[in-house]
Amino acid sequence: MRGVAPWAVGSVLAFLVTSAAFLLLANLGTDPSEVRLEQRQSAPKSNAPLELALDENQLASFEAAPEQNMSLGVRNGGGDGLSDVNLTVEVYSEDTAAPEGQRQRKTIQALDPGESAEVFFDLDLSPPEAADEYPGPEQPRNIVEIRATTPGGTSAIRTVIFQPG
Amino acid sequence: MQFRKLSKPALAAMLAAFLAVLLGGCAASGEVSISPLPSGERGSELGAGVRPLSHGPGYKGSPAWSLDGERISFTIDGYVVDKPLRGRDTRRWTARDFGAREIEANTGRSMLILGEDDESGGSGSLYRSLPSEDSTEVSEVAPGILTAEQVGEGGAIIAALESGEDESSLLLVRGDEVERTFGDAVEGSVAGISLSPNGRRLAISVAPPGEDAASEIRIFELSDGSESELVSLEEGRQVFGAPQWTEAGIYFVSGTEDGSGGSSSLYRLYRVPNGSGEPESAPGIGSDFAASGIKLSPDGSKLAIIGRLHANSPTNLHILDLAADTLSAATSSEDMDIRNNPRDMSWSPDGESVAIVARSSFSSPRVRSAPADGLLEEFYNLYEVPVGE
Repeated sequence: MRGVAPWAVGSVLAFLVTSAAFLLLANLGTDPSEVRLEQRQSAPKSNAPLELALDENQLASFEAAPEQNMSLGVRNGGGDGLSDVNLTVEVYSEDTAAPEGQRQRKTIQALDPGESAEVFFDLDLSPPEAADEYPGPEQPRNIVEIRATTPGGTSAIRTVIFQPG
Repeated sequence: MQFRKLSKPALAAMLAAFLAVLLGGCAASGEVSISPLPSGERGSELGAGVRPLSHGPGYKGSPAWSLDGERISFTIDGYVVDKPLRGRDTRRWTARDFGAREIEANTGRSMLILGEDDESGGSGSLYRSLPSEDSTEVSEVAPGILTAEQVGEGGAIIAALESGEDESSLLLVRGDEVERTFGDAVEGSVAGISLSPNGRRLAISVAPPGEDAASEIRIFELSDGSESELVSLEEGRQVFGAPQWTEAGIYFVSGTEDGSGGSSSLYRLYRVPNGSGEPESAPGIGSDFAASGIKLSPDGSKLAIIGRLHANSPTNLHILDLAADTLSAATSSEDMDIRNNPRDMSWSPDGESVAIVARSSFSSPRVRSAPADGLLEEFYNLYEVPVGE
């Protein structure tokens, strides 16, 4: 029985070394795996190829008035061409009791990989008619929701919240 | 069978290796296996442990927990909804154009709601809502209501009725009935109500005849309707919100409106100790503390205070332990706009949480990569702040 203890110690050490190796491998992959988890949960795979760009300086220059011309950059960041990219821009009030807002729609026929397009929309950012009766501490904010979708399921979204004028 | 004893160094090496692997494993598993928290469980800009209770656009206010603490109701853009505390399934209780100001009581099955009056003025009408699947009809309980306060645990309220020019009457409302009127009319316009710990008297803040703002606090005997003056503020000063009657005395917030629209930095928290008619600075909060909304916990042991530690510090929710006179911060916001109306703050029935209303402050347009309905800080939303031990 004198030979049992060294064997036991050897087995435990072998187990520990193997465990440590597995943990090292797991640690090496920590950061990317966390990022991948987040992406899978918050954004479907189809979101990646379509990119929407807004000029924040231009947005900041807008007034609470009609006919604010917004430039929207659309880029195909994926490896495949995209066709029939539908762009929907909806302008509505933060006031959920107010009537529905305005909606505009435009289509980009085709976007090759890496290709960009610029599309313009006229936004009416006037205060709602009953803004003075709004129960909040200030007039309601205007919201502009921009969605880009393709028949293949690729999509992207941007939401802009404007301070009341 | 016989085993040889291991030598001490071998034993120590094994133990150290085992602990190293165990600790390393814990740390590593913590990093690789934690998936992103679902919405509602992340810390918010208000601090760790604070949970959002609503989301998306709309001005939310007047949170009111159901008696069992399982649901929370609130006003949104003038109508009333409720939802499970941990779910997103919202149920509407009134028409969208109802004009709700405040929720006065929420039993979970019915609500008492203060809504707009046809005749504009300071008062509103009290309504009872009993929703069904296909109806959001409400029934009027009493018009001309100035303010109300829930009393007891059964959803009853004491309401102040505008009973004449510069006169108010105090009513007990239960369900859809005015159960009784207490005594004769009070001179002036009642702006806030608080029941004494023994349930026999009220502390009421009153705007004297001819004045718009409450500048007096009176004691009202429920048994015979008699009243006595407790505090009369000097000209220009006013009581903000309802006084809060505690075992340690009556707390109230008072200050002056400045020329720039009433900075809350000028408001201070005072206490009138039991048996005294002299207000003193509330103990335990510091001399620079600027208070605005206050609300007593259900068991009367704590006071929730929206305020700032000093003039230049951010607004946060603080909890004052009334037995120990110690103040602790419950939120740690740097730049969130926390609503300081006492009506926008509500204790959970178990006293473990406070619901508040807040949004982030920003001046230039904000761009987000999510639909508006999923956004939180961009709009006034409800948050549950844990305040238990």
